[in-house]
Amino acid sequence: MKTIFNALKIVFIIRIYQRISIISFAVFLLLYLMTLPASYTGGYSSFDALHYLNPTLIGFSVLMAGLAALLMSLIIYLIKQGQKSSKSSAAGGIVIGLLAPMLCCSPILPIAIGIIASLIPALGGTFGVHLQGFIATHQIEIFITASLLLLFALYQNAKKVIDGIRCHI
Amino acid sequence: MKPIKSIIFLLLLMVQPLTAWSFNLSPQKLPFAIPDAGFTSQSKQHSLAEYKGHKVMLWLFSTWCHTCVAGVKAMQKKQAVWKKTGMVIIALRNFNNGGYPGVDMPTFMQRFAPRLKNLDNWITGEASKRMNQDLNQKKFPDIYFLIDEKGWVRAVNTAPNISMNLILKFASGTSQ
Repeated sequence: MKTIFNALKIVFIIRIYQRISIISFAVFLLLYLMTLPASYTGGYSSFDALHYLNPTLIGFSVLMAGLAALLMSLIIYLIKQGQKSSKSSAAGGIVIGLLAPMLCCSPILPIAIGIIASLIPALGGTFGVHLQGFIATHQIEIFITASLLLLFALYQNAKKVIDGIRCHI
Repeated sequence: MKPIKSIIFLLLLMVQPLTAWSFNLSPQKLPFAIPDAGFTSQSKQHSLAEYKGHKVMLWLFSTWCHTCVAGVKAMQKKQAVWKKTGMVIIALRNFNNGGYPGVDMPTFMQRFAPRLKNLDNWITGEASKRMNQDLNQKKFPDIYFLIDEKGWVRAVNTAPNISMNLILKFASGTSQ
């Protein structure tokens, strides 16, 4: 945690990175608020989905949007400094957080599995149902995993920001 | 290049749910005659043929699915409309709950839409294996069929809470 705070202190001295974080937070928050309730709308993300928000979904939206916004600043800072950033776990966190509610109860998964099963028969049967049922009944655990991945990505990038400063010295 | 690829991937993810609604959920080309499959309601065997002469909404869902929870809540809000139009609503749990465990139908209804049981034209139960084979081969967790008085399926869709207008138009006779 100390590593993350120290890295953010370094990055946020420059005003542009504060702005990047604020704008990213607004964009990601809107995206999460519209996407996380997609499990209640058959995978359909729109402003109508806001109607299905509950305190848990709002909490995860704020948490994941906050982590993603801080990450954006660190990643852009590292790229500007000419250093390699860690984007894989960040992308993993964002994708898991956004994809799970869309797949939960929508027709996407049964149709996709149907197509795959026509190519690989062993994947047919109840494979799709089990996956969809699992997503539907473990949504909170999936959101926690996505948040932890974002936090891990934040830590990895924060370490690189601090290491970069050390290199300059 | 990598950040650009990531952005394109995220944009595709945002477009993806919209494409879900362009999928054809119907097992056959519309309109088609509803197969006479059976179901169980209150420990008795019933057949869809019993409801010929009535407009019917046949809804198959699994009790672990979130749209189904939102769907029954939305249907309960329109209770007065269903009473007025007289459309028969047959809400059935998919055979074997669609292949994934979940609560039984009475528990589900009592938890999320207890007032619907007071409606005479609201029927709940369990779909037979044949019904699921005939109408829900792809194992959608939430799918409904709007059937006219002659037994022809006029529309197939999912998530009644989102597609409520289609159901209301059909029930009030303004859909065709």
